[in-house]
Amino acid sequence: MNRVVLFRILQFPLILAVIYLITFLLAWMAPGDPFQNERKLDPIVKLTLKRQFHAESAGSFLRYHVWNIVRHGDFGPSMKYPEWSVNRIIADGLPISMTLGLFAMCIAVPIGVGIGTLAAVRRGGAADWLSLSIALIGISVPGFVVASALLMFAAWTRWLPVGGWGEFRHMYLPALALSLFPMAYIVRLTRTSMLDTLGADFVRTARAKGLARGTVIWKHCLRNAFLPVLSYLGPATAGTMVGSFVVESVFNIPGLGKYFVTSVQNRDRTLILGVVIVESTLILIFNLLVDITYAWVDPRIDIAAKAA
Amino acid sequence: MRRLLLIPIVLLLLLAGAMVLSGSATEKRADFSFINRGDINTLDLNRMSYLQDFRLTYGIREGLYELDAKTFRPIPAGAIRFDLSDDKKVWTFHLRKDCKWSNGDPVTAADYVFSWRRMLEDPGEYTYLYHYMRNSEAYEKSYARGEPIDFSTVGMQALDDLTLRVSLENPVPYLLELMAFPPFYPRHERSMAKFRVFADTDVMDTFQRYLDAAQQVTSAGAPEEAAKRFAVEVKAKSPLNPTAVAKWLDAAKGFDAARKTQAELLDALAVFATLDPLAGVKTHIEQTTAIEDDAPPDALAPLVPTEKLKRMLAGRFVRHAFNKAYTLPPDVVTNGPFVLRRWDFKRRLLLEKSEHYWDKDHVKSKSVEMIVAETPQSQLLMYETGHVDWQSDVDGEQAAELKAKGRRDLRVSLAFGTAFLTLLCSPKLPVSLGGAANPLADVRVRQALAMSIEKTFIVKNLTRMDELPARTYLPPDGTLPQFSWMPGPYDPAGRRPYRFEDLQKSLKAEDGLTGPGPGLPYNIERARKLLAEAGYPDGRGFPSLPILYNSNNPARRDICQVLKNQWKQALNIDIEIREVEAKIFSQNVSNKEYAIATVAWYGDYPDISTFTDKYVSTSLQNDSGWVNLKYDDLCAQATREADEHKRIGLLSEAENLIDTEMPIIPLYHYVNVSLSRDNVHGVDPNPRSITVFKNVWVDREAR
Repeated sequence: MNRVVLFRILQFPLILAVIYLITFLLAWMAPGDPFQNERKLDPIVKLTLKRQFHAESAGSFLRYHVWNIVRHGDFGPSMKYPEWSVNRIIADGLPISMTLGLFAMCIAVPIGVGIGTLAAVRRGGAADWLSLSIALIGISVPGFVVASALLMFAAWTRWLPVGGWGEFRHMYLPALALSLFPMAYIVRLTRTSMLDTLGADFVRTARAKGLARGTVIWKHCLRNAFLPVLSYLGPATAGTMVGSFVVESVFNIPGLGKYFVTSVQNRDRTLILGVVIVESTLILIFNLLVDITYAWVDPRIDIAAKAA
Repeated sequence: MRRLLLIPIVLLLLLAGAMVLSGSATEKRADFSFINRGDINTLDLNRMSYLQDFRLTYGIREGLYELDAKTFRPIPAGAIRFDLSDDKKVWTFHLRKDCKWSNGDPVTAADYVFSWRRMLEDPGEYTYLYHYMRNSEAYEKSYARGEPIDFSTVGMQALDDLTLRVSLENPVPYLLELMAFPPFYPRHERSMAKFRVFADTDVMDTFQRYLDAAQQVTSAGAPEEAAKRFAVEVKAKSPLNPTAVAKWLDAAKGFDAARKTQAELLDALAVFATLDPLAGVKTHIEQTTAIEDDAPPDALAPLVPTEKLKRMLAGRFVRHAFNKAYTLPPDVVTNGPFVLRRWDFKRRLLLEKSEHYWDKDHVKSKSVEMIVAETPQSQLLMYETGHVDWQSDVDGEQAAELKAKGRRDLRVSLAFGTAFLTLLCSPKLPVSLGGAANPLADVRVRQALAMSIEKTFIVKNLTRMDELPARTYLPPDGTLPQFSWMPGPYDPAGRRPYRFEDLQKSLKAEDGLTGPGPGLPYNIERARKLLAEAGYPDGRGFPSLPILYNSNNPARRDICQVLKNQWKQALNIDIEIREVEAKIFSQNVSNKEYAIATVAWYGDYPDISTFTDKYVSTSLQNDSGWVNLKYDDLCAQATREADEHKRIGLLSEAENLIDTEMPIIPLYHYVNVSLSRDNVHGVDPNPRSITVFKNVWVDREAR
């Protein structure tokens, strides 16, 4: 097991290098100039800027940038916000997005699993109906609609701040907005896999043995039904942790999520590379964590075998 | 089951950890807080080009002149007066004695020269404004090639600490306006020194190594001994000259390059050179690949380091850029009414009144806070919930809604800017559009298109902010009270030129666009006739041209739709609407890869040339491809003209050419819209969106 984990970790740099290269190629080939705003730049101005960012050619940029990342872990200054290094932008934004994302997952997981289980146990009941509504809203209503509705609610009642960051109460609404999508997913996953499990032989055996219904459901069934949810949790947590463009824009939160969109709009190549690598790293880490947890939650699973 | 519980627990723990990292300090509210047009892009004077960046810079920095809070005309600030030579080309500014940097240092003429020289050495979007100064363009170009001309020939000289001489190529009547514009503000070189990034690293790394070695070696004892010790320390391959080493040790003792000006650096480099330190050091060339298009090659980089150093010393320059982090607190040193105390990226910027500012008695607020909110919705909510006192710009759609509600705190003024269509005038369409003959090259077609647009409809139904529909390129907002517009070709002969008040009044009148006035009227009959004369009777044979708009500006989609309908009805021609993403839009337009596009232009400084220069045939910003030799000649004459009255005459003739030949079709003149309550003072909207921060305050008791 340890060897498998080590092997997986050793693969990270290779995977990240491939991701870096693909992202770089796309960012470099995208039409549009990172330095030009509305006015056309004088050739000397353009040249000076390119020299400063070592962006005279794709080769010179790659050589300098990759070397700086490998040697100093430094992604260099943002092309759009020249005062700020990509590292600092990420260091400022990521903890905020992570806080919000984790808070959202803390809402989504217990509620999602709880309602999903109840829905499966009482099929056609109120809980099932609720699970269906959550899934419907969470998956089909676009994020900006939910976020805007919550924002309007805050502005109208004045109970909660209308955006910004700094206090705990700033987090409630954006976290709720952010949790809806994973919650919907988790509800559906739990419900489906719970239904499968409830019909399994061992459940009948357990009940026949005289175990209480609650014990069987919460202890025996859930543990098996949870596995699909668990595999979803890895990418979902990584995804929510790097923030959401929509929720951060609507609630004016200085997180990392907005850069996934704005850096591309601005052709801010250094920042694009920075955020993509951060998100990829997180996804890799969380997928690994999920695989480890897998084996640990369900001793029948052998990740060494799975890897092989 | 207990194992399953661990997942929520781990999530909670991670959450707690992330919360600690993300920090959650809330601070006391500033005396005045506002929302800027957008987030700050940069506070580096070289790269600055956005209004919001300029706006904040007015608060923290100051030039020779500042703008009066009422008239927005330049008044003395860093300078107290100037002498002007008879040919109006040499300005000698006398600096105010008590101007101080935020660290207490006096502001000297050398600080201005340093900052201005940087604008040539590390050029940005506004460097072209420096080309009025003698030899500055030549210096900029030669510096980029690595062989700068003698800087003392450039028209910016510090005669002494308090006297600054600016020598111009041609008279520039609006020079004081430029002096009040951020690209002309001074900077404090010494505090920026530690952010220097040297270009010629082969020379400068060795220099630094020699400096470090000199700190390790004592000069005590016989010079030969010291020279030997030093040679060992720097791993010199051949023995060093003892007297040269003694001099170097003396010069290098306690020399910290991160605190020295370029001049001091050069003095030390001169001593350093006597050691012949660069023999055998390899030339460090970062890139060998060819760089694109018209970029000049770098003559200095490929030389051997010894030769490089020789040229640097002869030309008195060390090539470097600055890491732009020099603008961040606590390192940034400024000379304005406020100092930048905090800059939390994407959150807020906090300004505090400067203790060293010469006019601090007239600074009305102790602290100013700029809160970052980027979407129109969150900006408005911050204002509505009382988090900010002033919202500097209101999104068009929101503004129209608030205006319909009759909101008294919505403040509107005319702006020094015009929305217009740019038409590609070159004989062929770009290859990406088929490369066929371009109907827009015919002036009659352009005129027909212009005369068949009902602009009042756009202003009344789409923008809805009482904008003036436009007949001219230059807005009649009152920024240029001396200017007058010549009557257009369909104006009954013998009329006098229009002053801005007349033009404003007539544009608001019922027949403002159909009746007499400058430029072309709205007249469908004439438009049809012109189109027929051009060979497209009733629109027959007219190709379907695309009209581009920027997807960042959805309001323009509606404008395009209206234009499409109006042209179809009036001229029976078809136009295809194309949405393009911002960066690609600007690339397409500036590379002339379009046929028709919706664009805008705002004046940078209050002079007509900020508008007319754009359409000179050699201008980089002339994206219409319109070439008119008479126009070029008028603008060139105006540049040389010393008499202000004659100069305006020439430029109004030039403006008239644009308004009748239509390389652009003016649609409407912009307005500036802001939100502020009655107890907020000093933020009245004005055509150029100038904010005089020292004059801004909130009367908290009045609420």
